[in-house]
Amino acid sequence: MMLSSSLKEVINSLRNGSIQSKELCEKCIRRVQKTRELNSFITETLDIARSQASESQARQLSGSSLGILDGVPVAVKDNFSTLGVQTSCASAILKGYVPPYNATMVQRLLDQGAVMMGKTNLDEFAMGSGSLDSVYGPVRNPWKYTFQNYEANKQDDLNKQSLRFSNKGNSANHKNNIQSESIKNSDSTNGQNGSSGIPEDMDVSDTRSEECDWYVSGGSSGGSAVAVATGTAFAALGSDTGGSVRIPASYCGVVGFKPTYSLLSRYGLIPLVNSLDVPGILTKTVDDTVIMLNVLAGHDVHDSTTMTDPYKPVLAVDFPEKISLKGLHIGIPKEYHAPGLASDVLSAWDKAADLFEAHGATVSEVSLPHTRFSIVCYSILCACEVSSNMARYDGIEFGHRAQNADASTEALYAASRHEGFNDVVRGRILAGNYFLLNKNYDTYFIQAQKVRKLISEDFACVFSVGVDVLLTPTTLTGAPKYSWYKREDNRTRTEQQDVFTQPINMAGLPAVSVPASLSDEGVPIGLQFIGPMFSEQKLLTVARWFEQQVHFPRLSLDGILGDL
Amino acid sequence: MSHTLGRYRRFTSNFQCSYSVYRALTRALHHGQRLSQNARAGWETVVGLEIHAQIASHSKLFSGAGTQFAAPVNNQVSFLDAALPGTLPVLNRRCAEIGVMTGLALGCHINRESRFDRKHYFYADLPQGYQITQQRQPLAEKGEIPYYFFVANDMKSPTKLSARIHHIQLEQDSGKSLQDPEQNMSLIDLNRAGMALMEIVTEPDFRSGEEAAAFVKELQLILTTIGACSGVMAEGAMRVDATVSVNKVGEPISTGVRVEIKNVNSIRGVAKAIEYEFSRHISLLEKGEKIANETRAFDAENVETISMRDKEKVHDYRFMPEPNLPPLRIYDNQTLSSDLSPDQVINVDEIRSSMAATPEERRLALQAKYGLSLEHCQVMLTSEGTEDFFTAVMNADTTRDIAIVYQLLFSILLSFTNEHKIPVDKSPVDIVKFGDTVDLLCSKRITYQVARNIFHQYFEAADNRPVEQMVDEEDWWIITDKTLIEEHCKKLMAESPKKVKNHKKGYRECGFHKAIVVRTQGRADPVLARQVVEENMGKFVKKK
Repeated sequence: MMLSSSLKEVINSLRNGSIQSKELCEKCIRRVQKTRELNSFITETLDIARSQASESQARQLSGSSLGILDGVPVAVKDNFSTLGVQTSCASAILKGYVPPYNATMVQRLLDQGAVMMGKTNLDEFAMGSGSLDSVYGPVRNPWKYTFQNYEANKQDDLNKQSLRFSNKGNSANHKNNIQSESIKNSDSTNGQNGSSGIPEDMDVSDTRSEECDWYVSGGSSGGSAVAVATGTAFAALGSDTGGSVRIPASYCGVVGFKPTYSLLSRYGLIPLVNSLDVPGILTKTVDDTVIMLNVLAGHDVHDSTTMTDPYKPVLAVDFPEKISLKGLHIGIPKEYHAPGLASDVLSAWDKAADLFEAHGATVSEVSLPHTRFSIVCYSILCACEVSSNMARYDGIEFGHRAQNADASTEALYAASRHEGFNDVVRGRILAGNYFLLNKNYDTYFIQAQKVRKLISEDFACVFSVGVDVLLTPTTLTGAPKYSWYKREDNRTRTEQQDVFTQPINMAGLPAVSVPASLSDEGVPIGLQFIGPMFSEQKLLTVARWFEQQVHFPRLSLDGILGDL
Repeated sequence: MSHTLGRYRRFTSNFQCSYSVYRALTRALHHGQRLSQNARAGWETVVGLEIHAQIASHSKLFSGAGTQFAAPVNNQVSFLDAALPGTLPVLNRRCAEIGVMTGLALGCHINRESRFDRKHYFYADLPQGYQITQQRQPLAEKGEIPYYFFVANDMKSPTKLSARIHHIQLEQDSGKSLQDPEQNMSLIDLNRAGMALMEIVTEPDFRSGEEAAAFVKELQLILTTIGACSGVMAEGAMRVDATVSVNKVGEPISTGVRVEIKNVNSIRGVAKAIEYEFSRHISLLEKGEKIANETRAFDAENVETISMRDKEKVHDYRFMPEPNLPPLRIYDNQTLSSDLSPDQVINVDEIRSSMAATPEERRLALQAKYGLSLEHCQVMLTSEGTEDFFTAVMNADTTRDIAIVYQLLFSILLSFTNEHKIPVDKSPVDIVKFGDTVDLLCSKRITYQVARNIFHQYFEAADNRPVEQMVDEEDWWIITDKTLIEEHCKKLMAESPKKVKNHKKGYRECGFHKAIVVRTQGRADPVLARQVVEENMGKFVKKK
C-alpha cells in the first residue's frame, strides 16, 4: 500500500508515525531492485539513501525535522549534478564524471531531509522523447509490463547491495538478456559508435516476439517518470526543454509539471538549451507537485535568470463537493487538432472540455497561429545552443578522454568527442555549428528568434483576452510500443512527440500534464494545462480540480511485486 | 635617478616659458601637417589599437575565484572557470562598475543595456569552448580621449592629439597553456581563465608607432588613476594588439592591406612593432610585392614581427547570445526607480560623482592653478603621491615659489624616497619640514646643497630637529660674504696656476665656482661664487 501512496499521504504517514524513514526507505529499495529491468536508474544510491533515512529516523525520534520532505524517498534525473555521485547525462562522455557540487534543486531537496534513491535514466543529454537513446540502454514503461526477469533479479540483488553505486550499464548484462544486447561498455573502442545503443537496439527489437515488446516511457525524463509510477520514489526531478517532463508523465500516468521559466534554478542542471530548460517535477498527484514546487522554487544567486521577487508559495485549495467553475475560461487551441492525433486522445480531450463546461466554465476555441512553425524554430535554437553547450566536452578538464590520440590537441578533441557523443548529439552539434556560421546566423538563428517571439505573442494574446488556462493533449497518442517507436530515428520521433509541448518552452510558460484516462490499449493518456507566466496558483488549482474529477486509475505494482 | 636630474635641468631653463608652451600645444594641429610629419618617402601608415586591460577586481568576471597575479598554478579556479557542466555565470558587479567608470573616463557613451555573447573556438586553455564577451551590444561606445605626443629629441613641446574609442566590451580572459616539447605535453593553468578583461577598441587614429605608444601610455595612466587596472604590462595586465595598414600618400587612408600584430607587452614594444611593420610594408610594396592579410606576433628581443602560423584559415567564431546572463542594465538618476534596491543596480551618475579625476582633468587643473608646464604635470601624474604632496605644500603657503617647490620635490626629495623605496607621503620629511626648507630656499638663506644635507639628516640620521634649529646648530646658513668667497677664489688661483692659464686662454673653464661651493660644504651662494670667479678670472670664452 505504502509504495502506491502519494507524496502527501506518505508525508502524513511519516508524521503520524505509522511508518518510519528507515522502513520506508527499505521498501523503496526493494522496489528499486524489483523493477531494475525497467532500467529507470543509471545510478542507484542505495547506501546514501540508507544513511539519509537513518539520519532522518533519528530526527524523527528526537522530534525534530529538516522540513516537509524529511525521510521521503526521491529520485533525481541524471543530468542534475550531485556531489560525490556520478552525473552522466546518459552519455559516454560523462561516464565516471563525479561532480564536486550539488545542483540547487538537489540541494534544496536534501536541505528538506529528502532521501535520494538514485539518478534516473534519460536520453543522452536529454535529447529525445523516448528515453531510448541512453548509453545505459532504454527505459521501459511499467504500464502493461510483464516482469519476466523478476525471479532472476532476486539473486542479483544480494550481490549488488554492497555496491555503493550500481552501474546499470554493467549490471544489466547479467540480469536481463534482452538488454544485454543493447548495451556496450563505452570504454571499448571496437565497432563504430559503441557508445550509442541505437543499431543494436534495432536488431533486438526486430527479432523479438510480439509479447516481448513493451511500452516506451517517454522522455527524456523517462527514468524519473517510471520511478514515480513504480513507487521507487514519491517525487522525482526531471528537466523539460521541449516536453521532457510532460511527455513521460503522460505515458507513465503521473503528473508532470513544467514551471514558468525562471521560477526554478538551473544551477547544476547540465544544460540542453539554456533558454528553454526548466527543472521539472514528477509526482503522482497535483498536490504532490505543489509540495515539491514550494520546496524548490525561488531565487538562486547562482542562476542569474531566476526571478528575484520573493516566491509566493502555491496554496493547495480543497474543493467542496459541488463547486461552480463559473468565471473560469478554458481555451482550446484549434491548431492542436494536429495530424496524427489519436482518436482516444481526442476523445479524452473532448471529454475534459465537456467536463469543464458542464461545471460552469467557459470553454472556447482559440487560435495560436504560429504554433505550426514552432517545431522548426525549436530545432534550430536547440541545435545552436547544443553546439555551444557541448563545446566544453573536450576531454581536457573532465569526462571521457580518448586513448592513443595524443598526436595533437585537435586529434585528442576529435577522438574524445567522437567516442563520447552518440549520433543524435553529434547531429545536433553539426547542425548548430552550421546555423551559427556568420553567413547563416541571420537566416537561421535570428529568424528562429523572431518566430519564437511570435509564438510567445500568440500565447500572450490569448491570455490577454481573458483565457485563464489552455487545455490540450500532452501527446498525439498514448504510450507507444518500443517496436513502433524505433521504426523512426530520434529526430523524427522528437519532432512528432514534442509537437504539443515545445511551444510552451518557447514562450516560457508553466504547463502541467495530468493523467486523464487510459487509451484503447490500456496505457495512460495525459492532458496538458497551460497558463500565463507565473500563474502556477491558478494553473495547478485547475489541474487539481480536473484530477479529482477523472479518478485516474493509478498504477499499483503492489500486487505484482509486493509491498515488502 | 638620472631621469629626475635630467628633468631638473630642463626645468630650470624652461620653466619661465611654460605658459607659452601650454598655449602652443593646445593649438589644434592640422591633420595634413601630422601626416607629412610621419610619412616616409611617400608612404603613410594608419594604425588602430585593441587593448585588453585586466580589470582590477578581487574576483573573476563571472565567478568568485581570486585574481592574484602569480598565484600557485590552478589555485584560483572555480567550478565555472573549469567549465564543469551545469555551472552558470553570474556577473561580478564590481567588474561592470569598473567598466562603466572606464567608459566615462574615456569619454564614452554608456549603453543603458548591453549584452553578452559567446565566441566559440577550441583551445585547451579555454575550457568552456567559448569566451563570454560583448560582441553585438558592448558596454560603452563612441569615446574620445586627448593624449600628448612628445616628439623624439624635443621633450619640451608635446603635441596634443586625440584618439577616438570605438567601444569598450567586457569579456573573459583565457587560461594559459605551457608546452612541454620534451614530454610532448601541454600543461594548462586556469588561474587566469575567466578573469575580467576590458577590450578597448580605438578607431584607426594613429599615424605612427610613437603616436600609438603615446596613446597607450596615456590610457595606462587613466586606467591606473581611476583604479580600473594595475596597468602593469609586464604582468599582462595590459596587452596591445595593433592593426596596421600602409598606403601611398595621397591615396585614401586605410586602403592598405591590414595586418594585425598581437599581444605586445610594453609601451616601447608598441612603437617598435608598428614602426617595424610600417617599414616592412614599405619595402615589400616598393618591390611590388603584396602584403598578406595576416596576424603577426611581435618578437621584442629581435625587434621584429613574425607571421603566426595557422592563421590563414578564416575563423568563424559562431557568435551566439549568452543565454544564462540577462542584459546588463545601467541606470542613471533619472531612470532609477525607488523599487530597485540600490545595492542591486549600477547607477552611472553615482559612479561618475565618486570617480577619481582623470589625468587630463588633473593636468588642466595643475596648469591652471600653478602654471606648471605640461611636461611637469606629466611627471607629477606619473610619480605616485607627488601631486598631493605638491598641492599640500602649496596650499600651506600659496606665496611659495612654485619653481623651488617643484625642484626640491623632484630633484631632491624623490631621490631619497626612491632610494628608500617609500612613497612620498611616508617620507620623514613631512609637509611642514619640506615647507620650511622651501621657505629658507626662497628667502635665499640656504643653498640647494644644504637642503640636500637637511633631508639627508632626516632620512639617514633619524634627526628630528626642526629645520631652522638644525641649520642654526649645524651652522649651515648661506655664505653671502663676498670677501670670504674672494678669499677662497684667490687661494684656488694660487693653488692651480695651470687651470688659471687654461681658463684665460679659452682652453678650459676653471670650475672654481664649484670648488668654492665644495670648500664651503655647500654653503656658498653659487650665484655669488660664479660672480666672484668671473670678476677675478674674467668670463670664460672658449677658443675656436
